[in-house]
Amino acid sequence: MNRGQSISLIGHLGLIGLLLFGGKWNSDPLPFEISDVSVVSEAEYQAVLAAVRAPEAASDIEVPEPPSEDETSQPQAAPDTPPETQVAPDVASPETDVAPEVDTSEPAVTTQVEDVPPQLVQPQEDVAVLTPGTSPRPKLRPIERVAPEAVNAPEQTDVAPAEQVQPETAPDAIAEVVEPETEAAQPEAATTEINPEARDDVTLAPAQSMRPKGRPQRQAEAATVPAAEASDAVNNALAEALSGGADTAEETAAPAGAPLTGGEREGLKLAISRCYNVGALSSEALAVNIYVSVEMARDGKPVIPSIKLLRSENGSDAAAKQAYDAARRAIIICGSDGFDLPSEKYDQWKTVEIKFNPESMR
Amino acid sequence: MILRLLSFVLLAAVSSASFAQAEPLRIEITDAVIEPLPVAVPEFVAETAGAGPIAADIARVVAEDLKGTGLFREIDKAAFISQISSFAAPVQFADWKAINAQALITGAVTVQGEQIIVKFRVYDVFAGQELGKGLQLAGTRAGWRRMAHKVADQVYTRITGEGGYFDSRVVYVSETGPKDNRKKRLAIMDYDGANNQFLTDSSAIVLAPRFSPTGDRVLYTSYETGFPKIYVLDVASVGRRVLESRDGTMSFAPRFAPDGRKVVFSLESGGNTDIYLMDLATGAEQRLTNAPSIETAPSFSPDGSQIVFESDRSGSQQLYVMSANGGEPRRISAGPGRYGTPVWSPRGDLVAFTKQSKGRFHIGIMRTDGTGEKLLTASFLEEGPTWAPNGRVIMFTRETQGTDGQSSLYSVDISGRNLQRVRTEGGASDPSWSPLQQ
Amino acid sequence: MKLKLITLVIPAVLALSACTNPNRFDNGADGAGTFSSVTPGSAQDPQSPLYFQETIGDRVLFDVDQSSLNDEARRVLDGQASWLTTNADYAVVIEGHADEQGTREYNLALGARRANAVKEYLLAKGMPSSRLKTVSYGKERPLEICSQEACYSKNRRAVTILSSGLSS
Repeated sequence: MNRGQSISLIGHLGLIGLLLFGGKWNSDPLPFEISDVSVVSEAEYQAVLAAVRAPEAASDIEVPEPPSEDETSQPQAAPDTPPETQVAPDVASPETDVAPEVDTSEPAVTTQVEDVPPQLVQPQEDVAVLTPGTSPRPKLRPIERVAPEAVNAPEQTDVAPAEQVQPETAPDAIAEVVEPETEAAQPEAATTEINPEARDDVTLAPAQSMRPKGRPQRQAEAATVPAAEASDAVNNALAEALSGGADTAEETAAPAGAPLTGGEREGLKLAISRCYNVGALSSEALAVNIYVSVEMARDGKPVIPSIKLLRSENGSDAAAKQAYDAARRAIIICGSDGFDLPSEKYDQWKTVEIKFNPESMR
Repeated sequence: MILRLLSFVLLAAVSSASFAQAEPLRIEITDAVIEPLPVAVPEFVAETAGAGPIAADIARVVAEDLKGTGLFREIDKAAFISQISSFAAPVQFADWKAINAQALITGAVTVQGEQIIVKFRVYDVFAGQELGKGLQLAGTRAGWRRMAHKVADQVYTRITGEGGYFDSRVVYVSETGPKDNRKKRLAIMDYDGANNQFLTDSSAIVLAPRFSPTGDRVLYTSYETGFPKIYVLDVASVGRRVLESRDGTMSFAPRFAPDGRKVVFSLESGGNTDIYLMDLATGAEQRLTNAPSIETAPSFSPDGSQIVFESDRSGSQQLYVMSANGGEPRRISAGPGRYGTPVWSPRGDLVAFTKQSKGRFHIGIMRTDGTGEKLLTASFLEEGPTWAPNGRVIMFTRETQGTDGQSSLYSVDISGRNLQRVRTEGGASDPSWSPLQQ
Repeated sequence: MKLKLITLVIPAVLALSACTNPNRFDNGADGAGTFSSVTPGSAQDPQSPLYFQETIGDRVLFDVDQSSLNDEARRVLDGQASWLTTNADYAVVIEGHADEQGTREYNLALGARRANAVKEYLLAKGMPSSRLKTVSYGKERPLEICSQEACYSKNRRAVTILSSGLSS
């Protein structure tokens, strides 16, 4: 008999022996803690997390934000311009090359949401937007379409979000685990705090929801919350959810209401990008990243004297100034009729810090 | 257990709430648009009687310079809401915003006999303020174009951050006649094609003129002795002298060293072509390459320390860099295809070249170590790039195919955009761009 | 092209008239019934430059980017060498040319290589170097201008131009 057969024989005998006599090794189960956990619907969960600021949550979770990275790898704008660029249609080709690729990545993002339920899973993609429920997928890619169409962009991009509404939302993701509970979850629940005592179960943190977001919010300083000391997954989940809550609590110190939805943030980004014309920038200026702050008036118009350059990276002061001039014009020109931001959340966007990083144009 | 945890967290939440301020909304903009910046250039104000036409001409040249870069779009004067009738009067920014002018150039011209004074200001309309300071230039009436170019250079630099290149000239070969009996003569013009003058007649073939670093002299190759030989010509006096006249040799492809005192060129003898350096004052020659292959088209780096050239020592034309006193060359061109006519950018960061590949010609750029090769154009036959003084625009020759083939000059910026033809009368080839004039 | 022929022929004829045997008209002056009816200076006259150009062949062709002589080229050059040996009063300028499929300076150098290849061959055949000069026109003087290989192949040439041996 060969080796394989002998191994197999031994295995079988052992198994049979175990079956017959294995009871001898039984012992009492170790004590372990049980938490009461109930499964909630996505909507409820979102309600609970309503006030969470996406970026902070993101930072808690070490999200690698791959989609954005993938997307940013595309833009080879100018260099790939076919040699025979005859005049005017300046940027059309590079931009249009970029756009399509981006779109395809969005679906990919959504699917990852499925992984989530029973345990806290590092969300694969940008967690940034914990959109309480129904906000439409912010229209990421269209930003790039804007470029070639320059002036005409707005109409298109405005339409875009409408197209994209829900389908990919988390509800699907959590579908398998969810049973709707009766709690009426209002997406942008006025509950700004997570009210932990309102329920004594803990909402599972399903994959922090991945609003398929092409352009993740890289929030530099997230208000980090004390990390969960709890050792097991459930406690982690709790801490995570509540960290969101803590942030929420911060923001709601001002009577601002819910945080901006992903759609609103995207709308602002889009609006500024449309006017952010880098055509006249020197290559050095294009390579610079600048951080600009601006105060907004209640009607959504930027307070022009408040626009200032906070800092810059990757370039000389002169190049930064050039980039800053273009950024300033973008804010002023597209903000001249007021940005479309919800007045009930004014305190959320009263001060805006914008990082201008035209990496897709380099 | 749970309750303990919950209360801890609640405490944390509440305490952080207590000293929370509303955090600023943070967003990142990574996308942008590239479009020509809309700029308004109203006619310059005539501040003395009779200055009207020249004021209008100057403003027009300023606008054309800016538009010619591809980075600006001029707003039609018919759309203006307010007019600039006084240089000193405050600007009604709202009127200019309303027509979407992002930059506004205002100016005024005073004529005093043959002298003119040109003043200008640049405004960032949406910021509602001046960009930089107003300036005043004085010059002769005959030089009005140069003054307009200088204004445009200032505007361009203030808005883009790049150095300007409008107040410059181009020396080139003007061509007439059929392809099998081409008449060639040296000519010089403003970069935009104006003020064309001939420097030689067409009795002998002339090739590839090159400016000195100060723009006062031109090196070129001429067949007036029946053999190609290099000459230096003084632009102002049009006087010339031959530099290398050894019997039984040919010399060609000359270029100045950045100090203007030496000339690097190709010398052919016994069928072999190598690179030599000549001291203009003494005529002393130094041999820089010594190989049985063809070495030609040398070009100095702007700091004078290195020379890029083409050689077919590897079996096909490729680009090499060696130190200015002729050390061991290292190859920088990499791809398949043939590389020739390398020219070092005046900013020192790039080398422009001609590439032939799969039956097509291209103008391209690469970094001086050979990386980052990028082809900017493609056509049946094009060659001989020359750099604008700001190192961001390239002019070159393009010839059309067939019996009626004609040469013309084209320019393109280093991003590959804004390819356009330079207007010349008749055919033109072998351009060389002067430095910015003082 | 015609212009070149004429400018070659006229001085050639004039040179001939100075150099040829004054008795050559003695026979067959009327062109009838005599054994030598060759018109002097014509292509049939073995001592005329026209003969050199048309019968012997004053040019050799090259492959793309090449300056090496093929068999046909060597045959032609053999003929040239022997004619030049016989007609020792002529010096030559060997012009090297290239087609337009290349950059300007490189083509100048390539034309020079081609001219030199011819010169080396003639030297090897015993021609004194004092009678041989070379020049390159690169792509500046195409013969055929149709931008196709049929024309290009004719442009990749080295042409042996006769010049009066008495000058320079």
